[in-house]
Amino acid sequence: MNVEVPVFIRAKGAVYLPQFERDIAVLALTLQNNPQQRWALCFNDSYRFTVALFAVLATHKQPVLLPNNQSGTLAVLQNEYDAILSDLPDIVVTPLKPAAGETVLQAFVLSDLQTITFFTSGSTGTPKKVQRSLTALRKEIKVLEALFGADLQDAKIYSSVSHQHIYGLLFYVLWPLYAGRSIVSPLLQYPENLETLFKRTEKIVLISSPTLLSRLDFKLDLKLKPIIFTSGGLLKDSSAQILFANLGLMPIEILGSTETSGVAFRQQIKQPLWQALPEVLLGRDLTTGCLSVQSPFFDEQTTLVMGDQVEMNSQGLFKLIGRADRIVKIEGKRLSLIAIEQKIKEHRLVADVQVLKLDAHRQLLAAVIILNEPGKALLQEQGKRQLDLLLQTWLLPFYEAVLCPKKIRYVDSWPLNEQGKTTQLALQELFDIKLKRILSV
Amino acid sequence: MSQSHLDLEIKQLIIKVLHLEDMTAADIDSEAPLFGTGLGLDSIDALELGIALKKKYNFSIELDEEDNRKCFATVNNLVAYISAQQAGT
Repeated sequence: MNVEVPVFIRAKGAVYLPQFERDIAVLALTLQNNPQQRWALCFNDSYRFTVALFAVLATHKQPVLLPNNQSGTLAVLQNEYDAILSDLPDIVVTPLKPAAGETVLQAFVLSDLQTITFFTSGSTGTPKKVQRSLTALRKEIKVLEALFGADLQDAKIYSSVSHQHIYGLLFYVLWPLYAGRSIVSPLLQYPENLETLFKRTEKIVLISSPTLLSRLDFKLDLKLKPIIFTSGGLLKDSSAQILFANLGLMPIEILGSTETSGVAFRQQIKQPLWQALPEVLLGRDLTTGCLSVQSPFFDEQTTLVMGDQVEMNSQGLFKLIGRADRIVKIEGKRLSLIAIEQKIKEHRLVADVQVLKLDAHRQLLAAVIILNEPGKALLQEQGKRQLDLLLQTWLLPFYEAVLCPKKIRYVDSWPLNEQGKTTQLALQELFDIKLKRILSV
Repeated sequence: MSQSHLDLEIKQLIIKVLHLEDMTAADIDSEAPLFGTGLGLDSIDALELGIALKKKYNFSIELDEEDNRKCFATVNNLVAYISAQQAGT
């Protein structure tokens, strides 16, 4: 690692390697003095997250990355961690016993067999646990560097996505650390932040997602074009066209998942078909028509089958044609429709529920609810708006706001089409959404 | 622009841009939290609202997380921040 290049560039200033190592060592020393083994890392600040991650690894304890930092999630998954390190105001941090004396933990050696624990939306109710070894992560990073490193050179790494998921962790934290590129924090949130960023006369890499990229409405003539990675949701062709027309940009789209890590990539303006990342073997599962993956980037020695249905040509290039399960992305966040339906059904006023993803003015979740008798009574007394708010507030500890139903309809029975079936279409019609704007993914 | 006029305009903007159903400006409490409980807005709403405010008032969004949260916390706060920017302070 080039010691002249800052490891992190924070709002407060640059952090170089000696300070980074010392911050890790100080925390590691404290952690060593505490018995807990599995540590949930719930951080807003990427620098503090990274320090905590390496401190936990240095002491050969288990870092746990929860799917989000909602209070309900921390409660539901409480048996999956023994302690919490956090900088968030609403989270109760585990009290730490500081180490006695001043000696800083000497050279810490990480074993390749150590793992990081992730959680992701399972296809049934409970979140799915995924363990990823440092070996697998390192292999993936090496491939990314070999594939893209020459174009990245000594660019600074910016991000609009969190470090707490596999994509952000790899692209925004671990890969830059491995390659010796500076990580810039905090995260960027608004189109105008990107407008300011792109105007800078320095080499820039932006780790981002369609949530932000599909909302850029400014035009710039960029001499030094930033390199943009996007993942976490599909970049619509309309968004890709606009980015190219307005900014001359062709984001590198990455397809992957927590279970499989990175799988394929494309730049759709150049080539709309996806190709496998180097060292990843892809196929099409005959039973489901879904993408099958063999890869050194995850630890399972078996083939994993993803939920994405594909059409693949003889060269192995493919396009995505839909999902086989009821897992969707809403503005880049993964949601199991079955799981959230089960949760909503637990509410004392709900008899039954069906949810669906709508692609209206934005991606959102809609819910069609059949209330029980007390529910119907409350609807009469207090009105729809109050009931909506009641349900949404109740759901909030368990699901991030983006995933909670933004549009709700209360019905006495399921809407039927002409054949007497409750179809997606019949449900959608309750929300007055024009049919051609419905996203099938 | 008077603050009460700005208050009404912002509420109407929120309802329009975020496609809130079954609501009028009168239903939004100027002091109630916009996010989480209260009006139940999420981070995408914040994004869309930020974009709309920029378009309408040329309102600049601070990079500071702390300031952001304060600014968007309630309609009253938005009115205050936008008035301040318009007055050039």
